Amino acid sequence: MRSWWPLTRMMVMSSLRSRVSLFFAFAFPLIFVFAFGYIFGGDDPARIRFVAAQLFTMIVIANGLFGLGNLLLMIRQKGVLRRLYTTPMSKHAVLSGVLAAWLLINSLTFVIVLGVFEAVFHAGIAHRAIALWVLFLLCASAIAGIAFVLASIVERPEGLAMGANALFFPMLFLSGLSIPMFFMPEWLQRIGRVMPSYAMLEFFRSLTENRPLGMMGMIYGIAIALVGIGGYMAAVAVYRWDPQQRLGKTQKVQLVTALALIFVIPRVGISLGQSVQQLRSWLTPRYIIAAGHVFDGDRVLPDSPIYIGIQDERIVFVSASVPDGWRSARIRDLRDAWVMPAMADLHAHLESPVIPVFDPTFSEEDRLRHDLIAGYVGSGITTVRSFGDDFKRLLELREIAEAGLRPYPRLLISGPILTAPGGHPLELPVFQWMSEEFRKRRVVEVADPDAARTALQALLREFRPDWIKIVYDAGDPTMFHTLPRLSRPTLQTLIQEAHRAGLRVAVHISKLEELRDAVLFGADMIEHIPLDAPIDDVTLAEMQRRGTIVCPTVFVIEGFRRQWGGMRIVDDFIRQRLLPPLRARLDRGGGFRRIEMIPEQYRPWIRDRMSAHVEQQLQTAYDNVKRLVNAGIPLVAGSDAGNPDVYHGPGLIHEVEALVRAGVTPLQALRAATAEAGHVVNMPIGRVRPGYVADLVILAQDPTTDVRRLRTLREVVYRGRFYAVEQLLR
Amino acid sequence: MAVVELHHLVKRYGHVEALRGMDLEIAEGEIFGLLGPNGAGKTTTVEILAGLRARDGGDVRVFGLDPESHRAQLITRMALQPQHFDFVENVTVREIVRLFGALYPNAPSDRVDRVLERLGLSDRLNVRFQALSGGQRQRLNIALTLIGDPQLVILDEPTTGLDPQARQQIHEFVREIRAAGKTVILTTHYLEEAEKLCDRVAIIDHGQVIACDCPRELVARFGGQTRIEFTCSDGDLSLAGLPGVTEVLREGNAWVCWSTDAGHTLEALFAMARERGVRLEQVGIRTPTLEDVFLQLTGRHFRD
Ligand SMILES: Nc1ncnc2c1ncn2[C@@H]1O[C@H](COP(=O)(O)OP(=O)(O)OP(=O)(O)O)[C@@H](O)[C@H]1O
Ligand SMILES: [Mg+2]
Repeated sequence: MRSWWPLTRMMVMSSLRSRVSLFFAFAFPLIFVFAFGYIFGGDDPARIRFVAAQLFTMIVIANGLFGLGNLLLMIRQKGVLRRLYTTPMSKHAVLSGVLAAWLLINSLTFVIVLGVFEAVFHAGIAHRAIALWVLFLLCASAIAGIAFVLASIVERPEGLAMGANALFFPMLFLSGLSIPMFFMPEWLQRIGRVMPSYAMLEFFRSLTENRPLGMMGMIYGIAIALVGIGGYMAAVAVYRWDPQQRLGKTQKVQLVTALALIFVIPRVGISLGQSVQQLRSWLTPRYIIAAGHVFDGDRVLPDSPIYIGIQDERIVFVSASVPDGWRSARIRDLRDAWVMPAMADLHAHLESPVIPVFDPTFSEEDRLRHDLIAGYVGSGITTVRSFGDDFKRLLELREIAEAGLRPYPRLLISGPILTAPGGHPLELPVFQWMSEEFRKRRVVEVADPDAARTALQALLREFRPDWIKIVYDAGDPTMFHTLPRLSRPTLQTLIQEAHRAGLRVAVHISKLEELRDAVLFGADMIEHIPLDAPIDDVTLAEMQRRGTIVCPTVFVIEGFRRQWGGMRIVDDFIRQRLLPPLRARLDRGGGFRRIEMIPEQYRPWIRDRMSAHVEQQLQTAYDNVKRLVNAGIPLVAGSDAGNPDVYHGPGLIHEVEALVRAGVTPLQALRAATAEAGHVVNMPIGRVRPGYVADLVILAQDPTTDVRRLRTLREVVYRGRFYAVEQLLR
Repeated sequence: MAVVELHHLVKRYGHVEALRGMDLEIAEGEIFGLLGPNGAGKTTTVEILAGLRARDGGDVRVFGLDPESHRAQLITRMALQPQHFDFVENVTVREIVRLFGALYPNAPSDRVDRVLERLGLSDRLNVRFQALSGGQRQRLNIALTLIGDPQLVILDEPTTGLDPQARQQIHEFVREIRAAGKTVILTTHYLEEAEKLCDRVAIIDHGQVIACDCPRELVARFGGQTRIEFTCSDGDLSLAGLPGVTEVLREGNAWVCWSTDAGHTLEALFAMARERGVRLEQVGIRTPTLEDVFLQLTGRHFRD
C-alpha cells in the first residue's frame, strides 16, 4: 500500500490534468455513447440497454488497449520505470500502482457513461450500477493485463498502435460488439466466442438486460478474471523497465505460457463448471418425491401416494412405501400433484425462422434461452431431436448441457437433411436469404446412388449423427406445387448405406406412395403422414412386420388450415414462453400468415379453394393416424417446431392435443410423447421406472383424462434437479 | 573496508568496448570521484554498480554483494542519481517527492524536508515537473536520490548545468553526507570539482582507470613542475642555480622558470632579489592541476 498508492495518486492526477488523456478517457467514449444512443437506440429503452452492453464492452477494451498501453509505454520511454528500478519499489508495486490508477480513471469514465445512459437515454439500468461497475473494473483489469504485455513487447508508440489495433478490430467485429455473430460463418463465430470480449459482452448483456447470471455468468466471470491473471502474469514476466533492455529467453517462455493460458480459458471454464456440477451432485446425493398420482409413461399407477427415490440423476425406486435404506432421505412432498415423465419432441428445427434471426436485439444467448430453456424445459420437454440444424453448433450446446452449465434439453442431432437437388426444404425462403455456407451445413443434395454413398461418407467423416434424415417428397401435385424428389434407387441406397454404418433413418414423406417406398426400403421411422390417401392394409401389415415407427406431426398439418384461414393460436401458455420483444411483436399482429401474402381481392376465392383442399388433407391425416393406432403401429410425438405457429416447446403440447383430435386416446397420446419416444431413441428416458433418468414433470391436474392439463405444469425435474417453471421462464 | 570493489570489469555495446578491464576499490566514508572525458565509461560504470546494467565480464561487489544478483538487498542501501532525468508531466514536485518518500519508510521523518531545503526546492513544491528549469530539474534529481538516506550515494554528473552557487551548495551537502559516515561516488568532468571535493579520484579514459589516488598525490606524481613567472625592470638575476629550477626563459624583463620544488625555489628567488635590490613585479605561480596530470598521462588535453 505504502509504495503503490502514491504512484496511483500521481498517475491519476497526471491524467486528470492532461487535456489529451481527458479527451480519450471521457470525451471520446461519450461521443460514441451519444452517437450509438441516438442512431440505434432511439426512444426504445430495450434497444438502449442492448447498445449499452456493447458500448461498455467497447469502451473498456478501447480505453485499456490504447490508453493504458500508451501510459505504460510513455513512462518506460521517459525513464520513469528505470528510475523506479533503482528504488525499493518492486515491479508488482509499479504494475499494481498503474493498474489502480487506471481503475480509478475507468470508474470515472463508467460513472459518466452510465449517467448519460440514464439521464439522456433513460436506459433503466441504474439499479444494477454497482454490479455493472464491478464488472467494468473486472473487464478493465483483464484488458490491462493484455495492454501491459503489449506495452512491454513493443518499442515505440507506433508499434503499440499497431498491436492494439490488431487486437481491437478482431474483437470489435468478430465477437458481436458491432456485427451480430449469427451473420457470420460458423468457423468465424467459433473464433469470436474464444475472445475475451465475447465473455465480457455476454456478461454485460446479462446485467443490462436484467437476466439472472447463473452458471454461465460465473464461467464468463472466471474466464474474464483468468484473462486478467494470465495477462498480469505475462506482464510481470515481460516487464521491462529499461527501453534498451531486450527480452531474455526465460521471459519469452513465460510470455508464451501466459498467452497460452489466456487462449485455453473457454475450455478451462467449461471443465470448471463441470467440476462444480460434480461437487453439487455429491453434496445432494439423493432424495424422495412423494407424488399424489403417477402416470409412469405407460399407465396410471394405482397407489397414492407413490414414493420415487432419486439418486445421482437416476430413479432408484418407485413404490407405495419408502424402502429401508432410504428412511433418512429428504422427502419432497408433492402429494397434491401429478407426476409423469418429462416429454420428448422428436421432430424439431431449432434454428427456426419463427424467431426473428435478423433482429439484432436478440443475442444468441437470448435465442437459446428462449428456444431451449424457456420453450422446451419450461414446457416439460427435456429431450429434443433436431433435424437439419447446424450440427457443429448443436454439438457445442450439447456439451454445455451435459456439463450441467445450462438446463438445455438433451439433444439428438441428425446433421444435415439429405434430399434431391433442389428438393424440399430448399424451396423455403430462408435458403434464399442465407449464404451458400448456411445452406451446406443444413441440407445435402443427393443426385444419384453414387452421390448418396459419397454424401454419407463425407458426413460420417465429420461427425457421427444420432439419426439420418432423408426427405422423400414430391410436393403436392394436385395443387401444382411439385418438387424434385430422390429417385427410388437413391433412396434405397441412402437407407442401406446408413444402416450399414449402424445409423437409424427417418424419412420425411407426404404421400402414400412415398410411405410405401420408405417402408419397403427399410426406413426406421416415418416423419409426417400421407395426406393424399388412406394407408392400405398391406402397407400397414408391412409396417407392423418391420416395426416401422411413425411421427405424424398432426399439429403442423393442421397449420395449413390456420395459415390459409388466417386464424391465430397464440395463447398465454405460449406467450409466457416467448421473449418479451417477440411476444410484443406477436401481440401487435406480426408473424407469418400465408393468406395475408395474397392481394386482398383474391383472398376469399383463395381461402375457399385452399380451405377445401387442406381440409380434405387434414381429414386424411386424421384418418391415417387412427389407422396406424388401430394396426398397433407405435406413434411418437414430434412438433415440427420452427414452422409458422409451432413454437419450440409449446408446439409439442399442441401436437399431443392434435393427436387426441385425430382420434387417439389421451393415454396413447401421452405415451407417444414419453415412453414410446424413449423406446424409439433407445435411451432410459420417458418412464417413471427404476433405472430411468429422473426427468419428470410435476402437474397440478390429471393429464390422462384431458391432455390440455399438460399446461398446469408446476415444476420440472431434469437430470434429478428441480426447476420451478418461473425460474425457467425468467 | 571496501564498499565497492571492481575487478577487471568489462562492458561491450555491440562492437563498442565501453569498459575494458576496470579495477577499482572504494572505501567506506570517502568521496570518490570518477573523472573522465565524454564517453570514457563513467555512466556505464556507475550504472553497473547500481544494478541497472549487466556486465559482460569481471567481478563487481557492492557491500560484498553482486548487484546483478542481489539487487533486492542492495537497493535500500544505495541510490543512484542518473545523469539524465525525465518524469511524468503534469505532476508537481510535491507529488514526485511524496512518491519517493513513501519508498523509504525507514528514513528519518524530516529527511524529505531537509533534503528539499538543502537543494533549494522548498519554494518549488507546487510547480509542475515540466515547468522546472534545467537546474531545478537537476536539483530535484539529486533530491530524489538522497531522500532514502542511503549508505552509498552515487551521483552521475550532479553539478552539470548548475550555477556556481548551486554547485557550491551541492559540494557542501556532499561533504555533509561524508561527515555522516556515508560513502559518495560521483562522476564529473570538472577537474576543479574533483580536486576540491574528492578524497580520491580515478581518472578514466577509454574504459580504463589510468590513475587513481588522492588529487594532491596525483598532481605531485604526474602533474610535473610548477611554473613561476615575474617581471623585473632593474637589475639582473641568475636563476639557473636556484634549488629545484630546471629551466629558465627570459624575454626582456619577463622571466619564466619551472621548478620541481616551488617552495624552495621561491624562498631562494626572493632572497636573491632582496640581496641584489631587485624589485619583482607581477609574480605568478601556476601549480600543476589534474589537467596536467591528464595531459601527462594521455598526451592529450582533457577537452580536445
Ligand atoms: N546504451 C548504449 N548503447 C551503445 N553504446 C553505449 C551505450 N551507452 C554508452 N555507450 C557507449 O559506451 C561508451 C561509454 O559511455 P558512457 O555513457 O559510460 O560514458 P560517460 O563517461 O558517462 O560519458 P559522458 O561524460 O558523455 O556522460 C561511449 O562510447 C558510448 O557511446
Ligand atoms: Mg555519462
